[in-house]
Amino acid sequence: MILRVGLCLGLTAEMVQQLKDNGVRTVMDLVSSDLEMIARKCSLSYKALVAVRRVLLAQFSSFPVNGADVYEELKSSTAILSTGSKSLDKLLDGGLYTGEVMEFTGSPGSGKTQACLHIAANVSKSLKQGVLYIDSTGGFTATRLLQLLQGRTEAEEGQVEALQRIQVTRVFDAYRLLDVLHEFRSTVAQEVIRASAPVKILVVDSVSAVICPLLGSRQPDGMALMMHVARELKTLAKELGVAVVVTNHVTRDASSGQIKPALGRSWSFVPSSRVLLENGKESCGKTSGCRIASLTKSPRQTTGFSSLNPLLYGSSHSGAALVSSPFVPRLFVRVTNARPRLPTLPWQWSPPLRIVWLAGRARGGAWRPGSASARPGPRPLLSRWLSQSEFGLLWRRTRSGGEEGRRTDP
Amino acid sequence: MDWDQLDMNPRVIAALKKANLRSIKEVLNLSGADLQRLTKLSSTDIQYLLKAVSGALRKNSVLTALQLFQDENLGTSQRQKLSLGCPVLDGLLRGGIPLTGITEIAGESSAGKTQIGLQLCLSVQYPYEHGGLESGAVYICTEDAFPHKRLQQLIERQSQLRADVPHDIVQKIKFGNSIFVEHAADIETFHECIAKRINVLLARGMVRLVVIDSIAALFRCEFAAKDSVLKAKYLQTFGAKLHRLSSTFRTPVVCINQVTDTMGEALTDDHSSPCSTGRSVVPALGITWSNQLLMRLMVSRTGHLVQPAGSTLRIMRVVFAPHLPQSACYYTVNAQGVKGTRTETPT
Amino acid sequence: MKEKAAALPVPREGKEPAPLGRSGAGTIGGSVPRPRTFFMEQRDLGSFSLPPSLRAKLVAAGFQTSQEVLDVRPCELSKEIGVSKQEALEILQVIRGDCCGNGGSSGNTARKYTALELLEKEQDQGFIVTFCSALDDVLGGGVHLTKVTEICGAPGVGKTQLCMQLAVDVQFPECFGGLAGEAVFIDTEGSFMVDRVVDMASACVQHCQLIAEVHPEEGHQAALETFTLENILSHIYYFRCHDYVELLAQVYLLPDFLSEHPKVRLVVIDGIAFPFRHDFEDLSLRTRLLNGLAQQLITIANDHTLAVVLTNQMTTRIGQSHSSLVPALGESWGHAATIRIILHWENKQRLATLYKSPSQKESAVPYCVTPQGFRDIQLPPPDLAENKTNPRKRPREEEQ
Repeated sequence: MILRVGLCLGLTAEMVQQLKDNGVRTVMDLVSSDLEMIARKCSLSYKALVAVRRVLLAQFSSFPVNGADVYEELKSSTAILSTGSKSLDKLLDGGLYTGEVMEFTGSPGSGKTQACLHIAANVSKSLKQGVLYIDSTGGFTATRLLQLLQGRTEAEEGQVEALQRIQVTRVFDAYRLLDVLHEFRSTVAQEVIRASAPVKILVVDSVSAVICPLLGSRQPDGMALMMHVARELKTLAKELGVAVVVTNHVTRDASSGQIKPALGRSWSFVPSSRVLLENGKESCGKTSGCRIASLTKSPRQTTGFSSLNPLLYGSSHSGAALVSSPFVPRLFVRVTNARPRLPTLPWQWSPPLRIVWLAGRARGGAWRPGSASARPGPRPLLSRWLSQSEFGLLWRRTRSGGEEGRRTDP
Repeated sequence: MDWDQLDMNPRVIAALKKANLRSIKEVLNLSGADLQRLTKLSSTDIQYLLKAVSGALRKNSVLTALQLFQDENLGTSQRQKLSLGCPVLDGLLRGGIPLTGITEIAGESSAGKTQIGLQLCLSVQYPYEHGGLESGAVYICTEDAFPHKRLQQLIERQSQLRADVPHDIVQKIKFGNSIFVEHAADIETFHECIAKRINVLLARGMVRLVVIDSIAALFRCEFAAKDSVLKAKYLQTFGAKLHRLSSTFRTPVVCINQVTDTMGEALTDDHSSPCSTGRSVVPALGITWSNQLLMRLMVSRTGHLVQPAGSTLRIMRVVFAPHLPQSACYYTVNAQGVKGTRTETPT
Repeated sequence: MKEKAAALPVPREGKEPAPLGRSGAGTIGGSVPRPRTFFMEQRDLGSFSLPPSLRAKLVAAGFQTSQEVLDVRPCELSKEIGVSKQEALEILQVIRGDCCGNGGSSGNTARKYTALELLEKEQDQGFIVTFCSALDDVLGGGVHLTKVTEICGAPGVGKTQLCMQLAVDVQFPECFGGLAGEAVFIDTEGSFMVDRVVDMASACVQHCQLIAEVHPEEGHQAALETFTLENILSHIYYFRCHDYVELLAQVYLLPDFLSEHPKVRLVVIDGIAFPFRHDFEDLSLRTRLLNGLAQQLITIANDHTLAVVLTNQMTTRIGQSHSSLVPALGESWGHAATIRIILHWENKQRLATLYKSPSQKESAVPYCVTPQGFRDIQLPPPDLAENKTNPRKRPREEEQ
């Protein structure tokens, strides 16, 4: 944040100019420097500077959050949206969690777009929630969506309503994608009163199609842009309480010949759960349309045992095999039909100086009251997300289980 | 590339020069973001630059199919074909061998592949109105020695074979003088041959036909099964080079290929299966090579003898070609050369 | 089901909520500047398509979000970060989003639609029929506009035939159920044979004449007067590209060409694989170029409401236990096309398999290539006669 007049009380134009002349341009510069020295150099009053700094700190720094509060917050704001397929729901521990990013990855023709369309149809029809569908491969086909809806309801009116709840945007490059995401955020933030239901699901099919053309060159721009997209998606998910579904392509590793996701390691931390879709040709025969979905990453479920929990779902012509199950609210979880909650103060997103990220992964017993053997109570983790690398570091540390939730009074 | 010739803002040209970008290829190989970084231009400028550069490379190259169809110019017309020197076979191929692209003649040994190759070397020297290209031929041998004696025999009997052509025209052509024979026994020699020597011959206009007899022999001995990746790479490189030569000089490239039994190669055969009868054979070199071809002909012997001459009846099949249906025609090989027979339609 | 789908959009007329329409259009064009910038303030500068050098200067001067930049005037900005006024203006333009129209390939791409609007659009668009009714059925009517369709197959199985057939079919007059469009044919392998196109085009013209004779309608005769061999041929625009650089250049030029020829409904690239399969030492370059190409093509397809059809070669992949024929250009290219059709031989029979499609079930159907072009497999004699007079064209179906 650049220092400018009116940013806080006591910061005058003269002061700003003086500071600027001495190389103190941003809030960060001011806060992190030695005030005495600055006061001397800029011939400003030390007291005034201290006052300004205090105000700035109060304005821009993050508040520590009580773990219990975080948990309460999570409970009240998180919804689990059914995907409409019982088996997929089971795999994802109930469905899509708002505030999280879920990823489908798979080879061409494995059914990624089908899964996305299916989720869109279900959320729109059965749950009566809005969907924003960002299509970057041209795979969105309204005719197919209609087919899926026709499988759910006979009533034309219901189909029309469901179709109207789904908004579709076609973007074919990464900057456009960012534009759309920003615009989405601003429209929701302005609390534009809509006739349609609030958007609860954001689908990006596919995220690698727009990013891959930028990667692999000599320049690091592509990587930076990818990180922007990643951050934007996570912010959207958290802040607006939407569930984000993205799809990722696969490529073949040159050395081993194994299939791997196109956006590699640096992307892999972005989705909190990742589902690999495969053509189950070996096991089911080609014509049966059987596919296998396996969980490769999840904050809640056991992963890495794709062979243990293979699920069969068919993306058959009528979409009948993907049986839509009525949404059952679970304990502690409330489906909010209200507009997404705008986070209050401690959660407010603001420039990077004070982003507090809550990697709030309520583990174990949190969602399942039955399994008391699991770790009791929530285990929120606080980590500052100043830069991507730092985040990665913290993430790894907390992952290894070293850190307990800090309790600090605000 | 001289950037100053391009119709662009001088500022953009200066930026290009400063970024040390030398060719259109270099520019197009870079992504928009990379170009922005290298040239320090805005994205609008880059869009403009890419269009200008592309425009300079492509000129105004659009043709409508009608223009192609009505094109009577000998230098560009698609109608122009190279005759095989026999009206029946030309009829099968709708006029002969297309001037751009690689044509393959595959078949068992003694099916008459080399005979067809030799006859093409002669017919290319006829005037345009008689199906030739008024130029010489280059014949690349990779396996056996060039059959000089047979060539002499064919030349002597040209006037008998080409009875349709006025006698004095046939007499005037010095057939033997414009057939260039190259020997290339291994891949390196072959590569050098098509990359350099033939290029010179073609550029001087001395040659309008390239015959390679045979392409498979190059690969048969040198590559074990495990080298298939390397082999594929060579095949692709050769295919691309020959394509380039063919389309630059509008010169047909005829490759003679051997066949293998399908037993061992059950996987690569399905593209040509409908054309083999009895003993099933497929052209050698697999799908990588097939991908390089414009059209493929297969020749084989039938069990029948043709009276009165007593020569074996052979059959030529069109396996694939963009402009031809899958069809076939019988032919015989005698002292005069290769001749199609109209007698009966093969089943 | 088709009738139902067609009828669906009707009830919408009366009940389309006004606010929805407004929110669809109002917030996008930037006509309401305040809302747009309201939340834009938090947008990181890195997410704008600024030249990297300028971005670096901005960041060095302490600017991090768009709001900070928008707060200063161009003059101040140029002084502050040490760039020319023009550059400062450009920066501000990019950040305000004013340059959407000329900065990107098109300003319309970010427009939001509801699925219902898209459904209407899709149903208005129509398809390019392949003339093989079985394949049309499998594809859900024909080759879709606004999509990229890839046709893979071994040499000689009929890829080029299908492409040439489509280039003719796209020109069917509207009263015969066609699109009355034009076609662009980009040829990298030199396999476009005009004689063959003439065969197919004449067969099509004859076919239409036959329909007009059996079902005389006023529109038919008028349409037939313009649907002639010459007209068909003159509406196929042919480009020959010899290597991948020429192909890339041609694709860069396509948007302009298509704006000049707005009736083009089909772009064929026959084939995409050939120029990219040799002379590439650096495979990551190839991957990047192909990825970029794929995005360009889908953009073109979407912006100009046309179908892009690519052909691809097959290659052998050697697995642990067995080797199999797979489309060339690798796994990542497999994502490029929205629809993938694989043509192959099976027991002396040509089969077309729909391998990937967002809307249709995977299935395989037989087809054949006749002197007239790409056709259905000929059924046994009793059906044959019927098949000839009843080539399942849409207008015919409606009449029955």
